[in-house]
Formats: sequence, C-alpha cells, structure tokens
Amino acid sequence: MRSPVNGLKAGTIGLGLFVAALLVSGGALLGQPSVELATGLSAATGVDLDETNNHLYFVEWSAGTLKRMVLTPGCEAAVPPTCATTTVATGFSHPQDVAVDAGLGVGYVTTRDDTGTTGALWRVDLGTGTKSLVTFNLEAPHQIALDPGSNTAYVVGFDGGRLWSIDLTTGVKLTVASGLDHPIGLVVDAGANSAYVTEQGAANRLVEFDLTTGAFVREVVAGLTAPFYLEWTDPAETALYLVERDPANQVQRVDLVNSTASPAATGLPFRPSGAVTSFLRGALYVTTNTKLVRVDLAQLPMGEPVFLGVGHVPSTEIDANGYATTASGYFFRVTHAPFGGTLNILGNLNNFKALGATHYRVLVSDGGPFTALDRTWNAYRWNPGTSKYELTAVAPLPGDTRYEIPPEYPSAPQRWYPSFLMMRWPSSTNGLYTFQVELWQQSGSDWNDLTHLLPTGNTMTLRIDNTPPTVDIRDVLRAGTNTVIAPCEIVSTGANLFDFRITAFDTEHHLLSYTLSALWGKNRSAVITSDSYTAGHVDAEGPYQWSGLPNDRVPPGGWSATCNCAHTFRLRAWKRTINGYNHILHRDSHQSITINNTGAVCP
Amino acid sequence: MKRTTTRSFAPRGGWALALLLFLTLAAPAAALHSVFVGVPGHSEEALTWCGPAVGEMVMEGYPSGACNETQADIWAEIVLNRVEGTWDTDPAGLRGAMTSLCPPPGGHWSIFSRTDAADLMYSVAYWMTRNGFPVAAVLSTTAHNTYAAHQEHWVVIKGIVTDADPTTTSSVTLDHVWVTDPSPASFGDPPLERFLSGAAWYAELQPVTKVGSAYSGKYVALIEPPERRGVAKAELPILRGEVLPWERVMELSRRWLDKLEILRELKPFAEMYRAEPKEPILVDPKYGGYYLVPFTLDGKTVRHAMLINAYDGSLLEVGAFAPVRYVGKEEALERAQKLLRVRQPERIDARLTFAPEAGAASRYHPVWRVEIDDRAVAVRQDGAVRFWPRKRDPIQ
Repeated sequence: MRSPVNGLKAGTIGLGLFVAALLVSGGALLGQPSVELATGLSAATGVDLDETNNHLYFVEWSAGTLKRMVLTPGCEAAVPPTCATTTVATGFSHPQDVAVDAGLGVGYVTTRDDTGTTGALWRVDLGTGTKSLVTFNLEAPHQIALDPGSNTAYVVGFDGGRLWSIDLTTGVKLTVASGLDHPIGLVVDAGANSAYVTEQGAANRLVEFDLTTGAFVREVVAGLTAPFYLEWTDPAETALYLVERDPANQVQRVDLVNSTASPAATGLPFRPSGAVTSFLRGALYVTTNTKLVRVDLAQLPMGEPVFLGVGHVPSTEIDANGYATTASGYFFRVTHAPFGGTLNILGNLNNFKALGATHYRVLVSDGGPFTALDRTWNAYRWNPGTSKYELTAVAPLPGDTRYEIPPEYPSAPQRWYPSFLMMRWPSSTNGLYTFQVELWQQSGSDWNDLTHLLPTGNTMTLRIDNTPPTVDIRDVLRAGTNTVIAPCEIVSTGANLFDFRITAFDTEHHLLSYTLSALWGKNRSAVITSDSYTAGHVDAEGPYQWSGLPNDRVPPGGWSATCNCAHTFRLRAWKRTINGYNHILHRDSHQSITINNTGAVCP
Repeated sequence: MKRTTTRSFAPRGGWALALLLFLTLAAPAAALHSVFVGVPGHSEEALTWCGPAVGEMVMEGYPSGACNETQADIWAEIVLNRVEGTWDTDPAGLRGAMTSLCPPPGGHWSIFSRTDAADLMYSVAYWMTRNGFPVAAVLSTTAHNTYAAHQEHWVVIKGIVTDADPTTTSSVTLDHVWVTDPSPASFGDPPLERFLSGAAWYAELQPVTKVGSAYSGKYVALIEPPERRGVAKAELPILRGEVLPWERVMELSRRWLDKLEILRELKPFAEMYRAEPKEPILVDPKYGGYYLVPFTLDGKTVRHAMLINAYDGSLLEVGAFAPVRYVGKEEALERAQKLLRVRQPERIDARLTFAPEAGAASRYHPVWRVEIDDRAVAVRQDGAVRFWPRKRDPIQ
C-alpha cells in the first residue's frame, strides 16, 4: 500500500500589511482568504522554515526537488506575491519531507523510492545543494522531526509501521515504536518525551507515543480525513495543526489537552500536505498539490488564553467595550459590569513559561501609548518547610518593569494564593483601558523578546468607572400634595399616605439597582420601591446604559405605615462596577419621621 | 573440470544465482576444491553497521531455514548481546543476534578466534564445505569508512577455493576467497564483491587490535558449528620489486579471467566476461604495489576490476562494485590546483595510493596524492578533493 502521492511545517509582521495584498485562492479560511505564494508546483509535500535567514524550504514529490523561497514582507504583500524561489537540490526519488537545521546550514530530506531501498534519509548542504545519504531502508519514510540537540532525527515509515530514531552522524536507526498503522505525520515535543503520529490506516487517527519507552499512550482523535503532516501551533506544545488531504482539504487544530479537533483553515487548494508556522510573520504556510499558500495566523482560532481574567470574571466574558457579563448559573453573575477599584489581573503564567518566557511585563493604554505597569503587592506562597501559605511580596525586577515568572509555574501553581495573579492594578480615572503582555526570556544579561509568540488574544480591554452613584431622599411628602414632611416631624393628623421624592442616579449610566425601604419598631421593615438593571432597563438609554432616577416621586399611589411608630426611610443604590469579586460602589440616604396617625399600635 | 558435488537452493529475494556448489576446478597445478554459497548482497545502512549488514546476509544465506531480518532489528539484538563495549558489533553480539533471531537449523554459531589466520581459514573452509553456511569474519579493526570512530570491519565469506577438500585433510592451500564487503566506497552503494587470492586475503586479514579485547591479537570469525583445527596456507604476496609494464599486465588480466572460469557462474562477476579491460592503473609502485585493471562495457563507467600484483603478475583479487569513473592524473592535478588556487606551481606531481586515511574506500578506489610545492591534496575517485590528512601526534 502506498500513501497518497502527496506530504507541511512554522511571525508578527503588522497584520495590516497583508490585508491589502491578497491574491485569493479558490477557498476560504474560516471566512478568510489564503494567499498563493507559489503556483504550478509539482506535488509539493513537506515544508520547513529557516527563520534566521527568511528561507522557506519545500520538496516536490513528482519533480524530486528541494526548493527555497526567500520570504520578505514586500514579496509576500505584493499583488501577486513575488517571493523568489530557487532550486536547492534535484534528483531526489519522490521526496516526502524536509526538515531544516538552520544552525548547521543543512536540511534533511526523506525520499520514498531510491533504487534498491525502501526509502532513505538524506542530508543536504543548503549552501551548495550537495546531498549525502544518512541512512536507508526506512520503509517509506514520511515526516521528519529533528532534535538537533541530540543529533537525532525521528521519522515514521509508512509501509513498515515504525517510528525510527536516527543518529544523524552514523545513520544508526533504532525502532522506537512499531505496529503503527501506516504512519505519515510526526512531531516530537521539545523534551523528546512524546511523539504524535498521524496514521492513514483503518482509524485515520492521531496517536501519541512515549518516546522513552516506545509505548502507545493514547488515541488523541480519530475519524480524520486522509490525515497528513503535523505542526505545533506554538512553542507551548498543547495543540497541533493537522493537515487533512482531499476531500477535506483543510488544516485542523487539535487540542492535545482536551483531545478535540476543530477546523482551523478550511477550503485550502487541492491536496494540502504540510504546514509550518512562522510567528515572526504571523503566518501558517501550507503546501498543496500545486500551490504554496499563506494563511494569516490572526485568522486562526486562538489556542491558549493570555489573560485568564479579572478576579472571578474570565477574560472571554469581558467584551471589546470592557464590560463583563457572566453566564446565568455562574456563582458570580454580572451583566454589563464595568470595573473599578483595585483589580487582580490573572495571566496564563503556565503558558508563558511553556513558550519559553522567564519574565513578563504588563502594559496599559488609555487610548494613548502603552506604558508598563510597575506595581508591588503581596500574595501568599506555600512554604513546604512550614506547611503554610506565607505572605510574599511580588515586585518587578529592580529598576525594571519586568516581573519574573515564579518557579512554581507551570508545575505547581497551587503554591500561590491566589494562583496566576499577574498584576494588581489600582484603577482610577474613568475610561477605557487596554492591557497587553510582553514576554521576555532572560539569557545571561541579554533579553529576548518572545511577545511574538502570542499571535492572538494578547489584549484585554476594561471599562473603568469609579464614580459613585448620586443617592438622596430629597423629600417625604403627604401623598398627592406638595406638602413636605420635615425630617423628625411628628405626623399626627391627615391621611396615612406618603410620597417620596428621590434621586438614585448614576451619571455614568451604570446603575445596578436602588431600594427605598422603611424601618420602624424592632426589626420591622418594608420595601417601598425598588428597581434594578434587568430586562426592562438593559440598554435602556443606549448600549450598557441605565442611569436610574434623577428626581422622581415614588411610589405610585403612595405608601402607608402599618402602625404608629418612628420610621426611618432609607434609600440605597448600587452601581454595576465590580472589582472582579464584588460590586463595589453604592451610596445610602436616609430620613426619619414619626408617624402617629395610623390608628394602630405597633406590636 | 571435475564437479564432485552440486547442490542448489534459492535464497529469498536474492540474485538469480542461487547455488551452493561443491566442486573441483581444473587448475594448472592441482585440482581445486571450492564452495560457494548463495548470499544476497546488502550494504550497511549506517556507518557503524557492517556487523548488522553481515548478520543480515548470513541469515539470508542459510542453506535451509533462512531468515529475512532488518538491520535495525539485528542491531537491537547485537546491542543486547554485546559483551565488549569498545566494539559497535562485537563477536558475541553478532553471534547472539543471529542465534536469537534465526538459529541455524540443527546447529549453532560459534566464535572462532585464532592467533594464526591459516588456522582460522581452515575452519572456515572445513565447515563451509560440511554445512554450507556463509561465514561472518572480522577483516580488521581499523576504520574503514568516513566515520573514523567505527573500527571493526565485518565481511561475509561466501566462497572459498582450496587445493584440496578440507574435510579430507588438515592442511590445504587457500587459493581464493569470495567475500562481500557491506561497506562500499560510497555509503548507500551496493556492497563490494571481492574475489581474492589467498595471498591477497591474508595480506588484508588482520588480527583484532582493540585494547583490552579478549580477541586482541586474534583473527575472528563466526562459523557454524564447532571448532576444527587445521591450516589453510597461502603464499605471502611479493611487496616490492621491479614493476611489470602495463602491457604485460593487460595480457595477464585476460589470462587470469580465462583461468577463473568459475566467475562466469557467480552473478556479480559474470558481466566481466562481456566487458573489456582498460589500461591498467598502477597504485603504490614502490611498496605493496598493484595494478588495477578496470573492466568496462561502455568504455566509461567501471563496475568490475582486477587487482594484479605489480611485481610478479599474480592475481590479487577481482571485484564488483558500484559504477566508478576513474579520475585521471591530469584531472587530479587540475582539481588539486583549483583547491589550492595555484596556477603556476614550482613543483607538482601526483601518484595513486591506497590510503584509507585519505578517503580510499577500498583497493578499487585508490586516491590521488597530489603534491603541489609543499602541500599535499587528496583527490578521490568520486571527484572529492581535500587536504591530505596530517599524521596525528602519537600522544593524541
């Protein structure tokens, strides 16, 4: 059995750069077009990227060639794109994949049909194109996963069902795992602990193997359509891009934590094979039968969150206008809530670490330039020696605004209370604030900016409103008249019927509720009138807006006391402003009179 | 020619010549006894895998119960059974691998180690005659390919010619040995097929030199089954003297080919009888010199060659290998000058030499040593050019 004729692998140039430069392919990528960087290819299969030199390498199965495309922002943005392609090496017998070791200036190519062998692994000098054989009889080798640190290549053999580990100096190959059902695609995690393999067998699935023991670990997803090559979505290695050939012609995003697959780029040109991600360019490059296309990473579904949330509010429950709305049934239920007070901003410190960061920086903008936050706070950190959480100061590096990601992340976040607390920000002036994160990797005295590894989702916007509501019981009146009952007055005559002129008003239009109550005797009370930001008031004065009562007479028809006693009337109004854990802004007003004309004695 | 016994079997997936011949050849001096075993050729799949490749060939060459095992699987078993860590494939490892993966029907593999090569080769001849199994032998324990750290060289003995039936006498003369070397000139090429005179074989067969090895100072082979003492002698080759003119060697090459009629029946060499010898190439004329006589069908590429002693015209060996286009002296000079960027040297000369340290993959692939003024360059037969390696300080 032979695999289908065809077999891809991995920036942040301004996204707008490419928007105007789309030579649109036949299909759409979740509604977004792909850009054809090259056409007329001869069964392009494997692809890899040398980010250092801006070189994209790919092999053509039918032509037996290894080609190099020089990527520049200009050539990718041109209409049509003008990225130059040259042939690096020729004469391969049905090449399947290429993997580049940019440090050594060499590429490795798997070939299918070298005479007298069952397929081979070749080393290619990327400068001269000189080929040398590493090993052969690999049983129809397909995707290559390089581990330059250990001078090892991992390869899967479609016909023999083996996962090979190959010493790149001697060519010694070891069987890591066997019995795979026509394996095609392969990636290996950074620690060389796990391998993920696509199988074009009965189950058409993605499986995981333990690279140390060779043991089958699990089936990640099954029921795929002609699954082909694999690529990590990002260095955190919690998800994969999986290329599916015809008739699907798409790239799936496979979440390795939840074992789920969902389309990421659909409607690709016929017979895609490989994919490679470039964070520097914000692109996913995909080889297809006759084309090499570019997909904008910003158009693809987000993997891991950057901002986890604010207090109890998940980041994805905060909309683009900075208001929080949580779902019915959640213990902290809010609707159209702005933020205020001091905010606990939680970040995905685990993922930052997984992306290679050692430090982070949080920046904020009120519409102007982003500025780095420089705050200090206290949190609890578990002390294994005392078996207690102990108060610990958190501060940026001296003279810097970068914060170290504590060593407890990612393995033991529970040792911090609260966990994942990335910044405590005391909000102040009302307005719309946008937050971003920078990721940094410290290497000696050098700093490497890894922020580009966060291609999407690296912003959170919060609406800040710290203005308290205006609350006042302006007058207590005899019902239906303009006769004001002065505070502390004893009402002994006339009707036992009263009106109230009140103000429960928010100039920022973020009123949550108000309640006018009467209190008398011993623990006796009654609600005279109340209202809140529910169905009748949501968006009442425009999006997110309800201001309450500026100066209104309540309740309709008046209110009567039940017995003779001193009464206190209290008006309380809340705003929707939250600090992530509670509503934080309210104001009270009260007024007392004695009502002595009810004809009844209080119990 | 008197054929005493002939049996044949079909190795799986091997070449068409599927034979095990027990025969006696007509020869000028005496009747010869020979054994040839059908063994498909395999090249090493890694630069340290001559051992697994030999194991693969041997197991495919069993007279019955042959097995097809991958070199990767054989390697895994070798590692499990290895006793001496200074080898990639030590004798115990290879024996254990063959025993566990494909035990010889009714027999077993034994490690033969002898301080006397003739003693060892007698056992090879005896048991190949008796049981018809190919033999795994350690040719030497020096580097033999581009990976210098690998320092043992396993080959398969699949044919042997003696002056008498070794099962009837304890002393025979070793006339020829047919070996397959899984380490060709260029990695990935077909294996090197060599048909050597007894003298040439003994000149090349070396005892183990690995420090601390139990086999140090001994010649080693894996033979099926128990040890048998005796000797298989051969004259030592003449290593210096007056060099024969090439015209004489040309004539001798044709005569030797006619004399080695048995080669017609051995597929790797049968094509030689349709090919034409080209002008002999003299290698190392001052010491250990030999003529390399290329045989070609198209006048350009060479797939076969005969090596003839440069001093007495005796046949050293016949070889079959991946196609080669031999680099001439003028081309070697040109390539060397290009590397050194010297247009008008004061002194320039080139000579062919068998120098493994400079990239000579076999005697069939000697290198040009080009000396330009005070510098030396090696030009290989595949056209690669590099500076001649410096001799290492002994302390290193």
